[in-house]
Amino acid sequence: MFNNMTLSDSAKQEADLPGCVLLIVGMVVVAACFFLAMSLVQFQPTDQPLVTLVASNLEQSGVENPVTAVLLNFRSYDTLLEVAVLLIVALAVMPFSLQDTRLPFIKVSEPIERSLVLEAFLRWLLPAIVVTSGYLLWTGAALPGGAFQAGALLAGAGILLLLAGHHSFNFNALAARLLLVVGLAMFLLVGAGVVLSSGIALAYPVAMAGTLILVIEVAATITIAAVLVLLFCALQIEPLGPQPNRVEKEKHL
Amino acid sequence: MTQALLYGVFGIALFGIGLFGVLAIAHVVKKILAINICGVGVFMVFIANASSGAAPDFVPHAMVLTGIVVAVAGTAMALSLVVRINALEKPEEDA
Amino acid sequence: MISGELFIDLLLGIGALVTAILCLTAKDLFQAILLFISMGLLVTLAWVRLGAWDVAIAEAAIGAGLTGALLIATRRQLNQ
Repeated sequence: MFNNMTLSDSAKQEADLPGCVLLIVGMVVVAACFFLAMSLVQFQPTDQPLVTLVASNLEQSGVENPVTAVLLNFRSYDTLLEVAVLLIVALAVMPFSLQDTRLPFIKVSEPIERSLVLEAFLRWLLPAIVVTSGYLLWTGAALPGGAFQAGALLAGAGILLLLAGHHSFNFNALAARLLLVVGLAMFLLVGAGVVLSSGIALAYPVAMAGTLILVIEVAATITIAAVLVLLFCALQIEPLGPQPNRVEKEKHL
Repeated sequence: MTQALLYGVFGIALFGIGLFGVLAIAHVVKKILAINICGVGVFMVFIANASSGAAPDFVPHAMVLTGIVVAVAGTAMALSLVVRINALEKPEEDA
Repeated sequence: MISGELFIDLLLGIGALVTAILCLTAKDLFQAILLFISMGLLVTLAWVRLGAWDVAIAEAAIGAGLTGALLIATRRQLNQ
């Protein structure tokens, strides 16, 4: 903020700011934290209306885990917008890939460097991760777990698959684009569909709430996993700029 | 001193450390780390307050869950910008 | 005299603070990333102590795992 940002991994970074500025910044931060802590100590929560609200409406939500009920029923607008934020971030990092749209989503190729231990390990680990992710998704209705955890785990499996080097993903493919939008699309579809029965967007009918939440969660899991893998891929690029330069350099050589 | 208060104060301290890091450190990736530490501090205050009553309040839990996913998305976006800035700066250094 | 459970909380909180400070003062970027991941794991334990199991699972998978993978990938790109 105050100093020149740098990417160099050198030791001079600490010396960029003069000591007196650092001291003033430190004092301001310490004072702010002190006031925050004082207000926290004096803060007396009188009653918690949300606790009783969640507890008394849990039966109508269609799930038994209160966190899942809050996420996908009581405050589902938050989660809807969050999936939308993920899609926006995915769109923001998409332009890195200039791959062809017609190429398949998953490309199998011979890796440059084979890591036998990782490959053998992954053969056991990947199915286990996928099963665990499915379990977390299913159990999210009653016990801790849910779409976010399952999606993150699935994304971890995808990243491990990438690291093994046999496979690469082309996120410009049609299948990948479908994976990226299916969560938001399903959420909007269900949210708009329930208007027919209840009259309010995202207010699920009580009898079908459990099923609808599970449908949304499955779609959201797929999207979250796809977006997180895409974010990892976006960091793996060959540098964008130098590619034409490199050809020129080779010509010069 | 109760558990909730203890974690609340630790959360504020983490936020302070992160804030100082954002302001004082020049290295961009470390700035991003500092912003994440800030976020963890905020989450800790949220969760600590949620557990202060007789029954845990699940609404802040859900908000923090959403926050964690959005934080990692923001971090990834910042990091991809860093990588691209780095890629654009490199050829100039070579020339 | 503090009870045993509060002592664990104190230890976890101080551990998270110390790893955060070390993370931001580390000279090497790789060191900073590893310390950040360990802070994520300590904070995961803090969520468990506060009874937020859903948040703990998400933090372990995302905060410690995926963010670490993203940061290490970034560092590799920067060093190329």
